[in-house]
Amino acid sequence: MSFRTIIPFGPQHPVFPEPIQLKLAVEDEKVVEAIPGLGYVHRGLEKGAELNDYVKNIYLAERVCGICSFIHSWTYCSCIETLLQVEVPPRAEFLRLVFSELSRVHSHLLWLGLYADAFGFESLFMQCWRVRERSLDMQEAGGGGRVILSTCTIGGMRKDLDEDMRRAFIKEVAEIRRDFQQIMTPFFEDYSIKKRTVGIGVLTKEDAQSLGAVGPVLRASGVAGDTRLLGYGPYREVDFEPVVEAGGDCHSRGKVRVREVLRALDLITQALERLPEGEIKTNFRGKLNGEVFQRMEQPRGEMLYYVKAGSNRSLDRFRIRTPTFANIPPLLKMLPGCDLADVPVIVLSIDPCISCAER
Amino acid sequence: MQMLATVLNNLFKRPVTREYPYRYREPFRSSKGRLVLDMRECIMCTACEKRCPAGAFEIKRKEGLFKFDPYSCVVCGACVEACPKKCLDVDSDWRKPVGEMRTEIWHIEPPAKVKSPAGAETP
Repeated sequence: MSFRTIIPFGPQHPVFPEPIQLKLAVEDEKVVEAIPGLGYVHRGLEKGAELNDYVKNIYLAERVCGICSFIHSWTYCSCIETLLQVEVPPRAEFLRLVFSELSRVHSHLLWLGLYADAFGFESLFMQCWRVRERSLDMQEAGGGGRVILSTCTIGGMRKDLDEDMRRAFIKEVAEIRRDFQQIMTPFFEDYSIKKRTVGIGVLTKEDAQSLGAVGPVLRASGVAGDTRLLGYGPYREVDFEPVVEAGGDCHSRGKVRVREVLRALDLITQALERLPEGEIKTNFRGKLNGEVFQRMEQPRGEMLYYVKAGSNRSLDRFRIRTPTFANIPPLLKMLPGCDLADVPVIVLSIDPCISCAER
Repeated sequence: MQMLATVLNNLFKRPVTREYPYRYREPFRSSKGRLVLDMRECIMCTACEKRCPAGAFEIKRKEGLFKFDPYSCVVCGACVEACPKKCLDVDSDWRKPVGEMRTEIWHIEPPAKVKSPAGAETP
């Protein structure tokens, strides 16, 4: 006969870089239910943005997340550009693609390292972070900061890439690809990784769709759902196809992210090779008017911004739905039935970013 | 066996990490390290104070007081673009660690009449 016990998993746990609590109801070693507890790192960013000048909010928006900060600033700027009806120059759009895909590369490499660490493969963790460092160097050389770039602005970009740097970027991307290809095989073939991840935390295609999974979690369950397919920005002008795996387990989610790193490197090369000449910024004037929804693809999945213009350079309402928030219901579906020892890997497989989710 | 090439590379290549602070990586040319102020040309127009998203500037024109808190500054460069006299610049080198955090204070004689900053709303 088995007894039901409640085990608090988090908010402080070695596998979590950020605090979230999962109350796990276990019978012997099997998890039967998981109850999430959020609210440990709520910062009130949305309300802060409503009290702020809309131009200053760019810097606030990119501090929502410490990993995909560039995509946050792009999404916010895109919302304001729609409200002001500003046309962004094509060169700025391509530069935005380069930096957003670079943040995808470094986000996925960071996650792959943490994922390897979660099942005890520490040398792979260090190798992933070694490769990631090169992409951070590219961001620093091109944007001025390792993670927070502050280069995206309303109407375009604040920093241009000169011809030397464009060539250097193409070369560096090829080297990152070579380095990454050397270390990525274990994620597909290693016996111990397979033992810890294949068939663990399975999310079926139907569940992924009905529970509203986004990003690599959705694509690992066999659904080709990617916001980049909507063709925002310059994505309609580059060759892009989403990465899809059919397994639905932790191993598939790892494989999707490994292949997405290569896809993102490919997109960066395409954008740099097709980089149009011209201005990088349009000046703007006028008052904000109306409201706008904007969806963009972050490394973790689809992100939604809602901006409603207010009077006198402020916003009436600012709302962000981040991918981690959307991926918590699928996580609660994955956990029941798994072993307690597999919980860290399953939780990590959705790439939780709690500071984003709570803002 | 899948990691063999990486293992051999690691054995024969020099370390990826550096012995900081004994060995220091030179910053990239366009790195945003810290804000440097050259107050000789300042006309106290308060453009920097108005554009700063972090509230790092405090300017009292009547008293001729200019305060800058380098530890609130997020080095976004918005003030550099706004400054009509080009008094501000972003240096690529990072700020060194300090024992005590101090606000930088200048006392400037404000010009008799100051034009308001340029009207464009571009940050």
